Amino acid sequence: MNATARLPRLVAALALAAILFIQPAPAADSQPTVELRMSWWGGNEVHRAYLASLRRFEAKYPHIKVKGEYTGWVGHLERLTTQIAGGTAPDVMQVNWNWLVLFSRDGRGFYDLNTLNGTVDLSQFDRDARDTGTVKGRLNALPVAMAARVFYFNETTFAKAGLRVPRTWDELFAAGPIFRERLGKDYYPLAMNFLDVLALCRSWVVQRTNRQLIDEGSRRLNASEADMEEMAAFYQRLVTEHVIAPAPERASYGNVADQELRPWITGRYAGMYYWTSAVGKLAETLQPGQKLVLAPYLMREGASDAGLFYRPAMMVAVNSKTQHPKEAALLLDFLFNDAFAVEAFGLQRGLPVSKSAVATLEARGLSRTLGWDGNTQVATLPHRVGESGYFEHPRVRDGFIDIFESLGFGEISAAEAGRRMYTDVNRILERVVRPAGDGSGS
Amino acid sequence: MIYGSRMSGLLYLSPYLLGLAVFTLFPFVASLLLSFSDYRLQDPVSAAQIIGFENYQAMLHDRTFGKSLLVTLVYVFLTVPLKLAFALFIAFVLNFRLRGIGAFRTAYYLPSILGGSVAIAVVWRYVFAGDGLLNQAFVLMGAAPINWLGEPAYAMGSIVLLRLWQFGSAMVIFLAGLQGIPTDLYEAARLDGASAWQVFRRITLPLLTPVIFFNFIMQVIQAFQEFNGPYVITGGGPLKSTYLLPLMIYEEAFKYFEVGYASALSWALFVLVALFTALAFRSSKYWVFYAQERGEGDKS
Amino acid sequence: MRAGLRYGVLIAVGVLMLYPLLWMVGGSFKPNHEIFDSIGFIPHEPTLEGFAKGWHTSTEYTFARYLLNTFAIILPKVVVTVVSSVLVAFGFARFNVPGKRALFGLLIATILLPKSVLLVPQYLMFREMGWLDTFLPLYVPSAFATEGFFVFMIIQFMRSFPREMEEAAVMDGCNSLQVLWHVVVPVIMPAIISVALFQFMWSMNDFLSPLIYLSSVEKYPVALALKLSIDVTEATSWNQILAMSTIALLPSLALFFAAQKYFVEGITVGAVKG
Repeated sequence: MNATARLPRLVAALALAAILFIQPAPAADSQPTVELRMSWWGGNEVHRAYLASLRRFEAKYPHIKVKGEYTGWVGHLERLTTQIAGGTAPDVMQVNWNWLVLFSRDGRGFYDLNTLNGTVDLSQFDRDARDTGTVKGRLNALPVAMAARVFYFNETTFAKAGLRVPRTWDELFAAGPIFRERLGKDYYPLAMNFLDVLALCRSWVVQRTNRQLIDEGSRRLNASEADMEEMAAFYQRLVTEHVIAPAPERASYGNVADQELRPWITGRYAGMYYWTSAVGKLAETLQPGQKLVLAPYLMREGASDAGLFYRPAMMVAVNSKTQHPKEAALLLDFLFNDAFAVEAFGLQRGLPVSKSAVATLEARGLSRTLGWDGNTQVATLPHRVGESGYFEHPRVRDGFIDIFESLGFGEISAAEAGRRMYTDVNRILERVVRPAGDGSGS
Repeated sequence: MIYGSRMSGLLYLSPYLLGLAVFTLFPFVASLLLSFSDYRLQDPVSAAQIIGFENYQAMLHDRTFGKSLLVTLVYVFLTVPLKLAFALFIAFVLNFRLRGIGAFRTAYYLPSILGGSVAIAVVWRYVFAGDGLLNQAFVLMGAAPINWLGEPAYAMGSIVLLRLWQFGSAMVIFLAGLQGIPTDLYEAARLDGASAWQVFRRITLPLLTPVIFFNFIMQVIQAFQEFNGPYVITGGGPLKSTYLLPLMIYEEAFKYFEVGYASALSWALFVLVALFTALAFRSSKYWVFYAQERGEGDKS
Repeated sequence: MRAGLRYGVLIAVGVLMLYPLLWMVGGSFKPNHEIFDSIGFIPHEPTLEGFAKGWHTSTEYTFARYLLNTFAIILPKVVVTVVSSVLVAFGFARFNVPGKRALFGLLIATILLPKSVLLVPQYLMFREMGWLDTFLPLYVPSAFATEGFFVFMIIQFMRSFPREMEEAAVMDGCNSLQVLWHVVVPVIMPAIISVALFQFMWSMNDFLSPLIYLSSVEKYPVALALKLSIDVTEATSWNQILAMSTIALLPSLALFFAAQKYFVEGITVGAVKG
């Protein structure tokens, strides 16, 4: 408001005051309007889907108004944490699974949805699904979709090299030199950034050890130094056998999103170890003529578990201090189970967990996608070994990645990398895995 | 002092004093207190405990902090002189009534306008990529391409160049300063037969020193606070070679939620820059010439 | 002669300055998939899709709304910044106020701390004031000369020219405010214009403050709106973002171009006569 507009504004304020006094009192029998605030992050399609669903929800429940507070991915967590720190968080929030350990270590950081069973139809979610959102016996969040990383390959590029898409680790490693020979030294069977490398190496090791990597109880790695060295050596092998680009080469493209990596778009990097819930964007940016396909999950000889990291792709939680838990539950139920909302989102965020949602999508005949197929594949794979949420804690992640980076740039050897991963990550875990009840939560 | 009372001086300063009390003091003191605490962002503020100098001690043992400090200093020492020299040079060239000069000035100022906008990230990552614009130009000229973003040594070059590319603000201030020099001084000098170089050395430069000083201080401060470049283009890498302190502070606060430690880092940075600035102010006595204060000594 | 050399330098440097921007503008006219693999800035398949879709956005509002919000924040901010900075700078530059050194030191000190660390305490403070989800935290502090950069700059400009004219005016019976308005301000106009320009430009790009203080999408300024469509689960329509960024660029550009004459003609203190 411009300083010179003060006078008109004063007039307007007086007019407003006058109007307020003259306004009739609200009718005594109307239901009081409840206003809910909901926050989410996403891209264009997600925003449209949410907004359409919210309008439909408001039509169904005329006394509830929902205000959407949304952003792109960048900045969302900063804002949410500031809001939580300041006590101004919205009633309903879209959250990531690994935020549960951050904001709700004792389970009290978010509203216990078990108490709202009935208003939100929890029977659509099986026990495992509800467990992923349960902390210390309290259901903090419901999963929208589950996801795991599986193998997707660019069939076109492989065909150009005269190969079919790999079905075993050996075939993958064999493909490396063939790519170099037949297509050129710029061609690689896999595109990886260090986060992907970490996930892949974890899968490799877990396929042998059959244990999850992090033990929250003891606040340590559930693995030995030798296991860490195996991870490091595996990364090195991927580079030396030309399966992935060396670190300096991969870094030359800068801090860019996976689907915007130029070599990916043109097909030079011909595969990704990627989340089933987000693979759509990878396929979308490929240059026309390229085809992305799901590959069988690569397993080691004698492996009894696939070493998958199968966890909720996205969840929705309710503010523990909300004034309107019942209305929030109604909203949750609508977003997860109502046919309109389910269709609006489609497979945007992965294959839904809610049984009724899946039924709706199947009935509408929504076409199979790479993500859908990926999730179906996961269902067939042995994956009893889970993983702690702390694996995705930023400090832990970066602890691993910094060491992989040093290894990738030749600063240290694989043995040294293994040793450092063991000591550094253990030290980090000791610091960040804090037992509940040391002053956190509400 | 020309004007009547000291009281009217206070009156002029009153917005600042008020603002200091209301808007500035609290966050400042709060962040100082936080630096002595173990406050983590995801916890309520009441859960924070005072831990004395532990954060500062941890800083001394933190390898990442050492690296960050080093690259920040390198960055400042590289960009400040280069940017000032370039901005001054271009300001001279532009301080002329040539035809179309307005268009040129606008063109040079454009990069500064983009500043931290999201478009810069896309453009710049494309310019400096291994197969990007700059390398394509190199190859065209017969030189070898450089791995700007993938080699620790060159990554620093990419963010330095980004900063130099945005010299527009400094240039504008120099332009404004050049405009403030009375033209009759130039005329008098010409009448006395002075050469262009003598005019520059004896008239322009001395009268420009307050502005040069200002730009110098500001460039140093801003260089120490550079965040956008590393954040969007390199992410601080590779191998933390572009992990400037402001980026580290941001990540500590908003990625790792260690607000206590981030506050301590900020105050360490504060002390460092304050030292630089204080030294600069001291030195200004010797080389900055304020037109009306001959004989009145320095008032910093 | 000299002009030729000047033009030569200007054009060479100009190309370096402009190319990345030309690339950005060119990208606005490209279909999305062409942006990543195309070298030049001239689109192979020019389209207005980026502008059309970008303008409508995926939200309940068009981009016009976000532009208006931006102006609603920035215009007051610029005005109050200029007014307060000039007043405060005058106080520092021309008066011997007690404790001036310390206050000036504090002024500089406030610039030194990185913003990210002050964010949470400031947020708590504005929450107590009830200013969350309003534009107030974004421009009211500027009314109190809280941005030392601008105050310092104007101080330097004020100190760099002789005071004879001011002394003359005082002798003619003007009080300090009149001298400020009639004598000093015209002289330092280039500096004032610079302050306005910088504040305008920097505020347009400010992302973190609006992000934290504004939760209603209908209040978003351009800086927030541009990042609305960048997400980890979807491929981003960069042509839309580039198109809208180009549009967002235009006000600053126009302002700079219009402000040119203050850098060209500048009101020089030619009259160092009485």
